[in-house]
Amino acid sequence: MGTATNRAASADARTLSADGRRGEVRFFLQRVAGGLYVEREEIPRRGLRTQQSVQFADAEHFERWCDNDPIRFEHPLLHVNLKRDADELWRYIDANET
Amino acid sequence: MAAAGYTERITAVAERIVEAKDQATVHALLTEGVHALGADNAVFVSFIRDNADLSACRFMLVCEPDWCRRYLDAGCFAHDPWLAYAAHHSEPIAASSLPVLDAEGQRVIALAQQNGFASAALVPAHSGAGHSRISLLCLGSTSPSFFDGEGFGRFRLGARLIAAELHDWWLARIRRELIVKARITQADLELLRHEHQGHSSKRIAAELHVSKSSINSRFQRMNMKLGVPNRRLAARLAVECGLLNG
Repeated sequence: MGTATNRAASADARTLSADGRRGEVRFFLQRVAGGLYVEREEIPRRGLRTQQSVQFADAEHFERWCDNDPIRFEHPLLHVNLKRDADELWRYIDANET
Repeated sequence: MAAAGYTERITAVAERIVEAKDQATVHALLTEGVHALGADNAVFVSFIRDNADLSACRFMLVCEPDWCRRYLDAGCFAHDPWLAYAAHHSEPIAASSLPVLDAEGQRVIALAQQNGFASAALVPAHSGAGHSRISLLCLGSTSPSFFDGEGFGRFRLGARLIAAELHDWWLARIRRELIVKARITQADLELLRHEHQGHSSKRIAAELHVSKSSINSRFQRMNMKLGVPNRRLAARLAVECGLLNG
């Protein structure tokens, strides 16, 4: 299953990662104008290294994406931390928009 | 096809990409550029191709992100005819003009079509520094035949500008990361320059007035810093990222 860590936190951004048998998964979250910016990086011990970046306009869309991610089963602690950190950033975004 | 005044909007976006400080800003500019071009969706892919294999792939998604997960899970990058086109061509084209005969390639395209790319334009970006680092701006529309019309000629100039600026931004970012994270010094660059010119350790040692074993040790340390297995790939990486002239 591996280990999950929250490596950096600020009012604007979060960095999280988890290390496992197959390699490392990293997330970077940042609140931006119009929503939440997310980077997902996967660094396998062997094979293709990938990074995806996407901007979500609403929390529901992000939650769905997050729940479909294989980390939900491979790194459950990271999955929980990711949703918790995103919730905090969404609250900040919503507070600033209202 | 494209809204009136789009040239000015595209140029403004391209100019701001150059100045962008972080990837989130570039992502927002890509989104703005895609909409200025009149497209519904887009993916900007920057990838490294070593021989026939991809070793790294970065996706900036202005589309449904679940598409990318399904694409990667299915190993589509190995059979993607649009990436293959970008690897060998620089001319922007409507994806419909690209003949795809193999079943695996057709499955990759079908997946894209189901996720907002019913019609697509392929805009490759290459750099003079190297041949293995390539980018592709893939623009999509939910309207079939959107990119097949007569306006493609004018559209392609704007799309090419955005793709080229994004590609250059990536290269500059990688260059900065290499210098800062790997702590590449002028002395390291001097070694890489020798390696790139095909000089042996013996010759480098003679020119720098140090021992051959000292040169080998320095290369080993630098390879570790750069995360590459040997000095030949270290020099190649430096060329790809513009640290050395090719």
